Amino acid sequence: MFLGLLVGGLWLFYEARRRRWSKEEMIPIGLAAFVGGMIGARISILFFNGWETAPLVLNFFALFDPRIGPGSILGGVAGGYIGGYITSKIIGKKDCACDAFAPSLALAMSVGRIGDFLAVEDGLGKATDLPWGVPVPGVDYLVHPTPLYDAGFNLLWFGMLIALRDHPKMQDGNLFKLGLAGYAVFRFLVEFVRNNRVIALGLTGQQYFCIALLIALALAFSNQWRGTRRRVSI
Amino acid sequence: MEFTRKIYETRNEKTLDFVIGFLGWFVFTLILQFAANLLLPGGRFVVGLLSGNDTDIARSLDTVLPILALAINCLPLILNILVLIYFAFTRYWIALGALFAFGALLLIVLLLAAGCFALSSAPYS
Repeated sequence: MFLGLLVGGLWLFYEARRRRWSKEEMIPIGLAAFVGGMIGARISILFFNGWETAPLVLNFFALFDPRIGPGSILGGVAGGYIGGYITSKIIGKKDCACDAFAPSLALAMSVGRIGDFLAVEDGLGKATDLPWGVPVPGVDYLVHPTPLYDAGFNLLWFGMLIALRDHPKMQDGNLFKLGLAGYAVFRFLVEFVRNNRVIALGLTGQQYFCIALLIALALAFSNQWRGTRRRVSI
Repeated sequence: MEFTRKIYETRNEKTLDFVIGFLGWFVFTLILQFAANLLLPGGRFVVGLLSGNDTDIARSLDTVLPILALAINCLPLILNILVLIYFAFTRYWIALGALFAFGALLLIVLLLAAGCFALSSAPYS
């Protein structure tokens, strides 16, 4: 995960320079996104793993315990967005800073997930007979290497976002929204072969989060499209 | 609520506020840790005193205590976020210093976690 954050951070730095952000913008927004992401990743465990995790999850000082994992990547993305958004408003940044984050996040997740796979910690999946199933300590069957699915998707998605980053329609937050939408669709599907806690109707908390995120993004795109149509018709 | 934002005129003012924010965050966090460590056992003691020998009161206070403990647990995080936002609107460079301290400590934790993982998976560890 550390390497993922480092690689993602370096790409963010490169994107910010390319977009000609000043360091007075880049540093606070990047820092706030990182801190917000770490808090969001931890707090989202409440939603995904249940209220019984509250004493650990809501304990501020447990954030600094290296023995405890960081939490959910979905919560991390949400927390990072909130932190970055609040900061960009405070410093008075006019355009959306989030587009620079889109490819950086995909790259960071791709690298980070390889780390998850090597650590045999997060997200190794359900049993499978597929030829690419992997052995896991403690069980005598092969499982889906779901962190590698994640890593592979994010690497492809990173390439896609890089290809689209200068497209006129992918500015002002649209690239970030597309990045999130793509990951949400992928994550919803891959959850069916992961071992996360099912909340209701056979779906996990992560899947409900993805559904909610896709609805929010659809509403945001729809508002934007209506706004554009109104401006064109005037 | 109106916030009066400090206008920084010199680089020294910015540096001073940054250092205040950076060091102040550690002091603030230590105070919060100290307070949380006092409040929880203190709360249990008060609950014990209030309930005395009355089992009904003890039972109802028993349900309150975990909620109180959770609230005390949440308080440092909520206070941190609120104080950061407050200073971001009033003395920006203090907020930046505090955010830097927060982020630096989180990064060190991640480094330690990565280091521990690397050591534990080394062949001759």
